[in-house]
Amino acid sequence: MAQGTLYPDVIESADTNIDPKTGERVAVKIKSHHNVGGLPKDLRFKLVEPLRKLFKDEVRKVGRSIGLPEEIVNRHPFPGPGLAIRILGEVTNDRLDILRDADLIVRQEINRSGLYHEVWQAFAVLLPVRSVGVMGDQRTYAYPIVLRIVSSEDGMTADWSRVPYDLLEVISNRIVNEVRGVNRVVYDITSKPPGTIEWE
Amino acid sequence: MTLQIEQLPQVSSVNQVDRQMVAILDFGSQYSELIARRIRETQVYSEVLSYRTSAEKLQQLNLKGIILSGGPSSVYDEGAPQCDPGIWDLGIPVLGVCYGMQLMVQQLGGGVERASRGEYGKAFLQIDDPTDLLTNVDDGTTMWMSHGDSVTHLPDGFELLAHTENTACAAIAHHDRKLYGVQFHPEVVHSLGGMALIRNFVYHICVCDPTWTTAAFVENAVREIRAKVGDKRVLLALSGGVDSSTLAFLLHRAIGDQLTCMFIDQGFMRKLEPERLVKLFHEQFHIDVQYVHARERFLAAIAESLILKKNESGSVTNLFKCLKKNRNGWVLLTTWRRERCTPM
Repeated sequence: MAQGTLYPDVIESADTNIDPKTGERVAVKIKSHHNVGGLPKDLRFKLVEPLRKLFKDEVRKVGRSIGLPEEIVNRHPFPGPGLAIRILGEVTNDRLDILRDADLIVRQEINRSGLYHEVWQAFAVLLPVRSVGVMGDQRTYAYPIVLRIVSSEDGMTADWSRVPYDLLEVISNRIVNEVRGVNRVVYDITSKPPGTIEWE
Repeated sequence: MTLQIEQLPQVSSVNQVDRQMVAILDFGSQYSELIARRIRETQVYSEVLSYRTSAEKLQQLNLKGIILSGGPSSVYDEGAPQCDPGIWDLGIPVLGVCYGMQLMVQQLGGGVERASRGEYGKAFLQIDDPTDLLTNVDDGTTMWMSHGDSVTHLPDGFELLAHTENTACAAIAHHDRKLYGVQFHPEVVHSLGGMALIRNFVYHICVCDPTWTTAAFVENAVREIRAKVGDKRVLLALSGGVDSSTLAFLLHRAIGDQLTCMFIDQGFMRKLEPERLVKLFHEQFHIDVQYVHARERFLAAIAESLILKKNESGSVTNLFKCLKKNRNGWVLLTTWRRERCTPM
C-alpha cells in the first residue's frame, strides 16, 4: 500500500517538543488524519512511502517535474476528512448536500473572480444552528453558512482575505438563493492565530 | 512516553553513502524543520534528528555538517537537553543556532547567563569578522532574535564574528575546528542575511555540492520503488490532492500497471471533484482509477462513532481490510461487515 506521508508528518509523529521544565521530550499528538504510526497489524500490506522525506513545496516540485498539471499542483489544501470537518455537529446526508452545494458556489465565484491563486483557501462551513430569515413573505428558519477565505504563505499563520465586497455579495446571494436550507451567509474575519483556518 | 522517546529517529534512513547530508539536531525549536527546509533550498539534503543521537551514529551517517537547533530550555537548567559532547571532535563542521550555540559554548567551557535584557524580534548585525560564515552578509543587516539567555564569555579558541546592540556575542567561530554559533535565527524570513549565511555554511564550510535536485530525487525514488516492490502490486488510495496525485505519477512511472489507484468516495468530497479527478486520470494521464462508492458506509460508521471524524483515514484503512486480491489487482469484497467499519 502506498501512502503520501510527508516529512513534516514524520517529524511531528516522532515528537519535537521538549518540556521546558524537565527537558524531557513531550509526545506531540500525531495528526489524527495521518497513518504515520503505520498500518494496523491485521492489515497485511507493506507500506511504500516514497515522499516520506519531502516537504510540501518539494512534493509540488516533484509533481510538476513528472507532469502533474498545475490544476492539481496548485490546488488549495483540502483536509483529509474532507467536508466532514466543515460541518459542525452531526454529519448527515442532508447537511453534506447543503454544504457541497454552497462550497461549489464559493469555488465557482472565487475562480471567476480570478482570486483562486491569490488566496490560500476558500470554503464554506455549515453551522448546526438555525436562525430566522424572511424569503418572499415566508419566515424561514435555516442554517447559516460561514464563508472562510484566508491568505497565507504556508498555512502556519493566516489572515482573512480582504476580498471585494462585490464578490462577497455574489457568493451570499447565490448561496441563499440556490441552496435550500440556508438563509444566511456570514464572513469569518478571524486571523490565525488566534483562530485556525478550519473550524474543526 | 518511554516508547515515544525510543521511537525518535536517531538514525537517518538514508542508506546511500554518497548522498551529502547536513543533519539538524532538534532541541525542540519550532524552527528545526524550517532549518531543514532552508538547507534543502540550497539543494543539499538535510534531515532533522533527535538531539540524543550519539556522536558515533552521527559519524556513521557520513555527514557533511551538523546544525544544532534552538530550543525552549536554558542550558544551565537541570535536565536541559544536551548533545553528545563527542560531536565537537568528529571533525564535522557544526553550526549552533540560539540554544545550539549556547550549548556549544557551555560544553566547551564558555559561559552562558540569563541576559539582563532579552532580545526578541529584529536586531541589526554589526559584523566584526566577515570571513567564512559571514561572507556576503551585509554589515548592519537585519537578523531575527528570540532569546533570554546570552553568551557571556567564549570558550578557548573561539572568536567573535558579530554583535548587536543588545547581544555582545551574536556570532562566534572556532575557525580551526569549524565550530560556529549564531544567537539569531538565520532560518526565518525576517533574517535578511540569513540565506547568505546558510549558503556560506553549507557550500564553503561544509563543502557540499548542490546535488539534491528534483530530478535526482525522482530518479532515485523510481529506483527505490522498483527495488522495494519487485513484482508485487501496489494499492494507492488517491484523493486527488497534490500528495497522492504526485505519488500516483511517481509510482506509475516506476511500476506502471502494477499500480492500482482507488478513489474512495466517502461522501466528504467537494461537489464534482471526484468525477473530474477520475476522468482526468483516465483520459489525460492514462492511469486507471477504481471508483469506490462508500458514502453510505462512511455515514453509517459516523453515526456509530463520532471518533471517525477525527480518524477518517483510519476508516479508509478499515475499508481496505475488505479488499481481496485477485489476478488483476484488488476488488472490494462485496460483503461489508459492519463491525469492520468501526474506526480504530
